[in-house]
Amino acid sequence: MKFQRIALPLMIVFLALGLSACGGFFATQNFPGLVLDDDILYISSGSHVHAVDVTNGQEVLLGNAPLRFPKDSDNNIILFAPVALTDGGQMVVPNSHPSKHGLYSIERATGNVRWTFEGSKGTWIAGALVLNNTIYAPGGEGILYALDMNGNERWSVKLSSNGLMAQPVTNGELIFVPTMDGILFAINPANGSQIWQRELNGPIMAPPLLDEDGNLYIGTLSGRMFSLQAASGAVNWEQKLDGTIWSAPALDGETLYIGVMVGKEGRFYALQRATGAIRWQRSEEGSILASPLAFDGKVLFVTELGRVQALSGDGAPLWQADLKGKLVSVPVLAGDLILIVPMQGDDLLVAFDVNGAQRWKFKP
Amino acid sequence: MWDTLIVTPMTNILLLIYSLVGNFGVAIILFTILIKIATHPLMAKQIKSSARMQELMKSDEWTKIQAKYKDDKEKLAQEQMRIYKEQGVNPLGACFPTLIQFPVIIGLYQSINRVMGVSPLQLVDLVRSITDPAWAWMGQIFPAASIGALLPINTQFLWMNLGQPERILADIVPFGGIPTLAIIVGLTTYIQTKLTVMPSANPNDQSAQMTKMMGIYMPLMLFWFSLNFASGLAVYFIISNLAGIAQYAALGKVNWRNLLSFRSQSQPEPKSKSTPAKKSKK
Repeated sequence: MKFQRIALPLMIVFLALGLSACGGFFATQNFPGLVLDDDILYISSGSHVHAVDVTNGQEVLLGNAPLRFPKDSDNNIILFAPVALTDGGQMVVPNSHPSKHGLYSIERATGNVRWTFEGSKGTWIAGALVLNNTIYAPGGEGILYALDMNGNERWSVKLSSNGLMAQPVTNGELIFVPTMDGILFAINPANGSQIWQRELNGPIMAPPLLDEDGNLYIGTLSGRMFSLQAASGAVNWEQKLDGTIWSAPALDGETLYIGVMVGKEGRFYALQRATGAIRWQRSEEGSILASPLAFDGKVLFVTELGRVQALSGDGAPLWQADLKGKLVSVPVLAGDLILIVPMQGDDLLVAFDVNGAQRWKFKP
Repeated sequence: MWDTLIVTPMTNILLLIYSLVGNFGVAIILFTILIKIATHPLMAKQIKSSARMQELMKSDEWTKIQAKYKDDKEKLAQEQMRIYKEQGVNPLGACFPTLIQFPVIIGLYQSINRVMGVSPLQLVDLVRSITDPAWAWMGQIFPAASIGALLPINTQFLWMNLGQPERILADIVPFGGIPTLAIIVGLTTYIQTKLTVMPSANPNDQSAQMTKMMGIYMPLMLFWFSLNFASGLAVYFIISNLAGIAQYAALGKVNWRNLLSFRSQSQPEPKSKSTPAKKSKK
């Protein structure tokens, strides 16, 4: 009986822990969202948006206090979608809390909330797009909202019965929105009407990449990489890769770079831009979830195990670094710095120069 | 290890059911019932073992040694062990099956939670489970169980989005609506506790008090979980509670009178009339 007396309360405690902590309730930590505006990097991570001056690795200050949203911690706010910046000094921040669905507009000069849009019934996962004084916000219930700069709804269009996971992109004439149903939509930004749609046979987590010739490059979780014509949606080519594609590719000259997840491992591909043929590939210990960064004939990618790997255009290793935490967000090039945001690491932001030397790191 | 042995297999079985029935709510219900059936032999053993223990504790011999050796704990323990041996009762018999079921319950819960993940990080775990080399064959044999066909999971079931906390009349009722499912979870947990708790030989002893506390805290705890987290979990809690009652009923161990009794669950008959000591070899 003594055993039972000890075991019963222990089981309740373990059950509570197992159901809550280990059970994986909606994670407060997630792929941090990054947006660079001049010398300021806005990082959405955990419960705050931080603004970091990349010239010195210090948090931007408003008076004596750092520019953060929210100013104080709030359990009802989870942030990981990248913010959208408007010309009028607003910062549009989606709250990714599972049951609080606010889309906030923050005055960047003061840190104050200007307005909140609460029209969505789903969890915001992806960041918004700003084009011609309109905010295009992909909702967690599959609706794309077009809002004016005061948060009033101009129009909305239902694109999916599931949440929209990718930030819309634009060529200035159309808005491109992928869905988890495996469909890429081209939408008229003026009224939300559909110009074309293309079934890509696999859930899509990442936005397409646009090139200067009017082509779109997009991958699916089924491991298919597509090149499409932005004007019509016609498929230029399709390439099946070994793994699942979680991010947008990067383009450098005639080479398209993309990393994939293969179970707990990863693979990095260089494809011919014109045909999709594989130029070279290499395996990685950690899965590759973030978009690569292509610059100056080189390419850099990060892995979930914390590795930063730089390669030449031919795939030869140039340098590598290992950081604490998971690297799941796209590296950002700011001048001669490469900015990396680890998730669950010791630091929120680490800066390298283009030769792999660590320049500074930031911890709030 | 935990993930490989428990959560990934359960997640894939749940997804296989989903791919066959095409409705995630129905898949959760079938999966919960399947797990309950698979663990029923353990549960039956635990119920029987608990019943025998309760009977033993009501016996004259047990009462006598409690009184006789109340100041000599060591001797009391020895005598208790002797009675256990004579009666063929394993004092841990009720606990081991529960402990073995425990990882299954947690794993079931985690797999449901994983499948309902909506954030990118949760989806990474889900896709990793589907593409796990030990389970990737499923998508090759059943095209409906491949990533392209499975995702996105349709979490709409009846009036609920299983990935969101459930409320009805959210536009009319203040404070975000009525949490119907959470209320049903609280009620079914309470009812299950009332129906399945066996009468204690001594309502004042520690284990009886603890059982009583569990009867209060468990419904409240599960109500709170259901209030705040995905309604798919609430569906699981409800089906699990109902299946638990059915398991006890199948073994004839449901105490229907307790349902309307709000007093302590003590034994209805005087202790002196209990007779399990007949089996004693003494």
